[in-house]
Parts: sequence; C-alpha cells; structure tokens
Amino acid sequence: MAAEKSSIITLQSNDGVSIDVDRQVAERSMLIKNMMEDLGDEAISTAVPIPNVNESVLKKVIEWCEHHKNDPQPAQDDDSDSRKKTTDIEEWDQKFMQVDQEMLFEIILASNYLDIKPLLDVGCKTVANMIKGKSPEEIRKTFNITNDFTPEEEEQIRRENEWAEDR
Amino acid sequence: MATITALPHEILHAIFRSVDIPDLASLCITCRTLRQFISDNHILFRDLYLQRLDEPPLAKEGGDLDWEEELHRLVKLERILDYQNVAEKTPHIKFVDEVVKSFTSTANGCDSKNVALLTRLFNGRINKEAFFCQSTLWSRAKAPRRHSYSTTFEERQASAHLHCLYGVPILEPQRSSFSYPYPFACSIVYDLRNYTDGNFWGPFLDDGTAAVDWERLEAVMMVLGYNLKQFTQLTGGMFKPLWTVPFSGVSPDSFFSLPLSSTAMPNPPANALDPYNVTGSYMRVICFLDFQELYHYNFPHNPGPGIPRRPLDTTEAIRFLVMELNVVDIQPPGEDDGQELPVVYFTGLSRLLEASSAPGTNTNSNIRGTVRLTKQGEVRWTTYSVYFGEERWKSEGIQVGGIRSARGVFGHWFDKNFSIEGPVGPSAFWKVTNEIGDMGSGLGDHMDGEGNDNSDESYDEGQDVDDDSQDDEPFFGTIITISLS
Repeated sequence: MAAEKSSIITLQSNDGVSIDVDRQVAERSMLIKNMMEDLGDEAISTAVPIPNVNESVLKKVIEWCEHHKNDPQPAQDDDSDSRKKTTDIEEWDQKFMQVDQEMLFEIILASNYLDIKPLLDVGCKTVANMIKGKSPEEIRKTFNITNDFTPEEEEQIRRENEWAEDR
Repeated sequence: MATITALPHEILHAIFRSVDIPDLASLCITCRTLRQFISDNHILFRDLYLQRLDEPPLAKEGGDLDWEEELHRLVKLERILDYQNVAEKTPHIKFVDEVVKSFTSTANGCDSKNVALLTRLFNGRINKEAFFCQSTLWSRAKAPRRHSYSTTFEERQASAHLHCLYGVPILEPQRSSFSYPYPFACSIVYDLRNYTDGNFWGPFLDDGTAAVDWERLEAVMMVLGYNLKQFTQLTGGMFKPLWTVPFSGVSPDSFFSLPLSSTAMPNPPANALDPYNVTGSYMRVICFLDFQELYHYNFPHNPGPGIPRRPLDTTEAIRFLVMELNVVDIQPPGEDDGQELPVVYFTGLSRLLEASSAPGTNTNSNIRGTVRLTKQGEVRWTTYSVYFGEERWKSEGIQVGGIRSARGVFGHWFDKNFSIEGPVGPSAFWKVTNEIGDMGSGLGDHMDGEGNDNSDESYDEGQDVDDDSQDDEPFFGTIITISLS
C-alpha cells in the first residue's frame, strides 16, 4: 500500500492536456481504478485518455479527489443512508461546489463518467438544493429554462399539480 | 453547453431523488422536458417513497403500488400536521386516520421508517390534542355537561382509533381548562349498558357485525394505562412502566419472541399452520371495580338511552396474569368471520401473579379460546377462563396492530353467563415468547403454598404488593423486563 502511494499516473483531458496525478488520488474514480487493475503497471507508463472531460473540469475533479483521497471507499450500491438531508453536504464540498452552473453540471457529468459516486452525490444534492422550495417561475429563472407550454397547457398542468400547493 | 434539461436521465433521477416531494410538482410546470421525465416516472416515485417509508408487504410480494399517489398522501398528511392550530387540523381527522392506518399496517416489524416518521409527526402537543383527543370521552372531559358534539361519530371513532394506534395512553388533560379524562373512560368501561348481545360484550359496535368500537377500545386502553401508572408509582419503580413508546408494536409481524433463558436463541413459531402464532406465553393485565361500587354505579339509576353515566373517579383493583396457550385446532372461518384466515382454537393455563392476588381469588385457571378475523380484517380473540371444569369468565378483544403484532389484545372481560350485574372490566394481554414452560414453572414456584389462601388482607387494589412479596421482586422485574424489551 505504502509503495503504491508514490506512483504517479498521467491523465489526458479531451482538449489534449496531460495532468500528472497521484495514483491514490486518481483511484477515487472507479473507472480509473478498474482500468489500473486490468492493465497493471502498463497503464502507469502511458497517459490515460479521459475523452469526455476537458482540462478545467478535470482539474476541478482532481482537486476534489485530492481533498478526499483518504475517505473510505463507498460501499457498492449502499443506499441505506441516502435519505440524508441535502444540507448534510460538508462545508468544504459546499465551497467546492460554488462554481457557475455550467461548471457544476460539467462536474456532475464528469463524476458520472469517471464513476466517482460521492462527488456525483454532492453535485446532485447541490442542484437539488437549488430547486427546493422554489416556484416553477423561480426554477425556470435559476436554470434558464424556457417555458415551452402554451398558456392552456400550463393551466392544465397546474391543476394536475394542485396537490402540492398550500405549503 | 450543459444545462439541466440536457442532463442524462440517470442524473436527473439522482438530482430529483434529493428534492422535496412538492418540488416535483413545480418542476413539472417548468417545461416539457422535465414534465415528461417526471410524469408517470414509476421508478423515481418508488425511489422517493422507499427513502421515506418501508416497502409495503404488497410491493415485497411483487405487487404494484401507485407510488405517486402514496407520496401525495404523505405530503398532505405532513401539511395537515403542520397546521398551526387544532381547529384547522381536526376537520382532516378521517384522512389522517386513513393514512396512519395504512402506514402502520404496512410498516416493518422492526426498525420501521413509518414508525419513526409517525413518531416525529405526532410528537407535538397540538397534534396529540387535535387527533388523539377528539373522541366522545375527550369531548366530555372538555365540557362535561354537554351531550352534543362538534365532531361526527366517524370522526370520534377515527380519533379513538388513532389514539389506540399511538398506543401511549394520554391521561393528562391537554389544556388546563379540561378535566382529567380517566373518570370519563371509566364511565364507558364500567357502564353495564355498554355490554350487549349486539356487541358480544366486547369492544364492538352494537350491531352484531363485530365491527370494532374504537371509542370503547380507547377507554379500555386508558383505564388500564391509568392503573398501570398507579401501580408503577405504588411499587416505587420495581414495576417498569408499560406502553411508553409511541406506535410501538403497531404493525403486523412486529412481535419478536424472547428467549426465556438468557443463553437460548428465540424459538420460532410453534405451529406453522397457525397464522396468528398463538402458541406461547403471554402477560395479561386486568382491572375491576369493587362489586358493590360497580352495582351502585349502574343501579337503579339510568340516565336514559344514549346519555352517558357520570364520570367515575375511582380506585380499581389490578391483577397480572401469565397465560400459556397452545393451539389445538384450526378450522375454516365461519360465515360471520373474515374469510382470509382460519379460526384457530387454543387451550392453556392462566396463573395469577401472586404479588397482585386477592383473597378468595382462584389464582390458576384453564383457558380456552379462539382467534379469528372480523369481516373488517381485525384480529379478534375470545377467551374463557375455566375453574374446576366450569367456565366462569369470558373475554373479547382485538389485537391492535393486526396479525402477529407485538402490541397485544385489548378488550373486555366479563361473566361468561352475561350477568346483567357484572362483573366486567378491561383486559389486555400481549405475547412475550413463543416458548412455554420456564416462565410458568418459575411462576408456579412462587405461587405454591400461598396461592389460594392468603385470605384476610384488604381487598383494596395493590396494597398487598408492598408487604408480602419481597421474593417476587426479581421475578416480577424479569417478567416485566421481558415483556418490555
């Protein structure tokens, strides 16, 4: 274990930038971890392409992995405590997620692709917190969503969703 | 550019499973893409439901639920319980009863999310008053002289039912201007006019269908709860309080057998064909009034049909028994029974705990009885106590929480020949273990020699406990601890 710590691997973003990362950090990504296990030391000598992620997002993801490199690996499919309140996002992660919306979604997509479940979780909870308690108009505004319903359709859908009102 | 509407469905799912349920309605109204994703999204709604509530038995068996509709009911329940005052809440009592009944009947037997949720929702005083304290006896405790009610019969039944499911008897007035409810509960339990052919002398409505009269069941729970509390105080903590945990043992299959010796593993149910899991050992508590007092409370005065008797603030006797029951026969249901399950016949022994025994009482009896479903699906227990070959007492009760619940069977005991002069009283019993023997033989040791003839002590309730039963302390404690844990 201790020996592995020192090994460095190179990741290559889709815009062609190579980034050297501590193997332990990179292996927060289950995708990379599995790849390492499959390829063995061979992978260490060549750059690992990350085709779906650009440099700025990849650096951001690595920053997160760096901070969380000593966290215990999440158990597979462990949904038992998924009911944790979204306010449970730890402070460092909250600050980490204070990025513009596009970056936020890019991080979510990258963590999904790289299979970094805890990061995906934090990202999704951050978005959920942006939705909570908002009116439809406020949600549209927050996420820049265009209302593509006709007024009649909207009226109809509002009636269907009356159960949620009066809160 | 990454936008929310362009996210893959798996990520939308992961986001939306973390919002509050009413947020989904707002999201539906924003645009077509999100509406399409959310409407009829069975998997999303199922996921949201299972985060909050236990998987219902129907779903475990592969059946399907309208998860979205269930979540709407949860939202509505939470909203009603969040209203600020009692007057806003009580008009919704039947809805609340329906949802709580559904959530308790589908709760897991242990570590239940439903029970945790309900416990949290009903934690506040205002919700307790609004939903658990609206039956007839509570209305009387608010305004003793008034015999008209602002609530309907169904609403009062719903309130009593909720109080029974809650299971921690509320014995304090909810406001300082109200009277204590106990005397009003006694006036139901000890009014002999309430024991009729139509209700089989049990906790049923007077219409011959064995539909449960939850108001009378509530009164039984409160009278027993009051006496247990008195007894706990009287014994200075030796007798641990019962019925203190909200919604405990309120669901089917919430009973878990305890091993009688500390090393043994709990026994499995003794009879695989008996759906009620009858065989085993039970604790039982009964109360009764002094016979003279019961008589003078009821005769000769009759306040008139439908008018309750005066509140009865009294001192009752309390007795604890251990019952050991064995299944002896299983038969198809009769035409008046619920058809889903058979009728199970049992026999056994009932032993009075010496510490609570009174002079002239036969401490041991044989028991026989039946368990069946009512047409409405409630679990109905009937017992006969047999002394020297002769049936003497009978009881009728309902297992609160349904089949194999831990809560137990609440109801009435009375003269087997239905004597119009009584006696009658409240009764409750609950299962401790699937085993038979150790608990009983331990008891037998304690009762031998002193059983029937500790003759001249006061008939007053409980007084004899303090003096003559030091030896019983550890045993008593054990039994009560067993029954609680």
